[in-house]
Amino acid sequence: MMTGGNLERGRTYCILRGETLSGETIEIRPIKLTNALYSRTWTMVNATIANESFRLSSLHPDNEELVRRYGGVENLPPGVRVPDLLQAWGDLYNQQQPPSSPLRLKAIRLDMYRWEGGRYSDYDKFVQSWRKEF
Amino acid sequence: MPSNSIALGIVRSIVHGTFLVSTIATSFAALGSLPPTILRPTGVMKLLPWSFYDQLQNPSGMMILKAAMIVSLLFSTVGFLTVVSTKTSLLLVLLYQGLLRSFGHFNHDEMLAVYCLAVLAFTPCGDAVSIDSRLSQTKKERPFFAYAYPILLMQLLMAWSYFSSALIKLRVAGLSYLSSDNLPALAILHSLDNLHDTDFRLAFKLPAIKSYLPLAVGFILVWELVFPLAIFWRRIRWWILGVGIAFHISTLLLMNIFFPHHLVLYLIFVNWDHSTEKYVGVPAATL
Repeated sequence: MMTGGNLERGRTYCILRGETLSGETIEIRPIKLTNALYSRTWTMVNATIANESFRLSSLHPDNEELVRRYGGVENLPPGVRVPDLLQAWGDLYNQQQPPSSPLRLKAIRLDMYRWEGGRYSDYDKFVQSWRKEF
Repeated sequence: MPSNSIALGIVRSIVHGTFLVSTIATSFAALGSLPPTILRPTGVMKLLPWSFYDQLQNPSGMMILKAAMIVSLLFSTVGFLTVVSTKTSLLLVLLYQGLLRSFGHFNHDEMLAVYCLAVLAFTPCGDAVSIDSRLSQTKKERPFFAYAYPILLMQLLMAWSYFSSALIKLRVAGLSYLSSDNLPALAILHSLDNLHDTDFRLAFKLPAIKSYLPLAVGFILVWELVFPLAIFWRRIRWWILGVGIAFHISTLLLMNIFFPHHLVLYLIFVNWDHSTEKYVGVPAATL
């Protein structure tokens, strides 16, 4: 925010979506699931996609194990912990629905898009998706 | 400048009460459902071992933290065991805010209020508007600056948050901060995802009026730079704070970013000792 906006610079952004038992795809706003993270959900997601929790001087033991399995931080795929985050959000969402509700999720996904910049249009070039089935 | 115990007591209730309300309204159990493996401890939070985070960052651990925070903040808001409860509230809020910042970025909305908690923890803010003062048999006599200084310090902290914000913008972006694409590009970026707290889409109308926007951005920069005048010049104080309210509402509508803690803290600019005598008719000494 301090640097201001720059039209020429491209940017990526994410949309959280759920796939319901009834076959609908719905948008899910994370603030309704984890309201403690107001004003910082998007930065948490960006950091998780960038695997920033693997670039600390002291790693969580589970992350240390994962790095060992992949043979180094540089070999980790982008957002290696995003499925864990999606699992938590999906569980929270389903807990808010009645057990027989067709709105319960069978899967949840994080869709990443890119606004290339340069002009005020073409905001939604698809980049990649992370998906978690229940 | 408010300079008696009642003014400081009211400010204590406002600051601690703000955190009390936000703690009650927040689902700590939901936060505890997030995996600790995505945490990135910052600052002194790095000193805590991962086993501590594993114990804390789960639904039951977070509910214990929430219960402790509610009890402590309730005590410090009503002024019960104030000397102790203001300090425990500071420590618990610091831990909680540190945990939040380990998930996301350094959000400056709550930071000013955290600094105010730190100021209040080491000042005689329980001498009035408190259960402690009701229970106490003897009235404490302190020089006026014991009550005026903490309020002045909190006002200076708020003024610095705006003033330094303008300086950083000018230092980092220079005059390009006044470019016509600054606000539209930034506002649209914050309106594309669904990870922000609100879903206002006004940002997409800004490109149509972008040639006028450098004036608005420049006005806000000047407003941030002159904010310190609100402390010392009562005549323009309410104009400056009024622009602040409009500014924060506009960031909500245009960028889906809001600063509720900052806005509540505008109340530290009210001359509470004067106001209570004028509107409630209660002299400070009886509260």
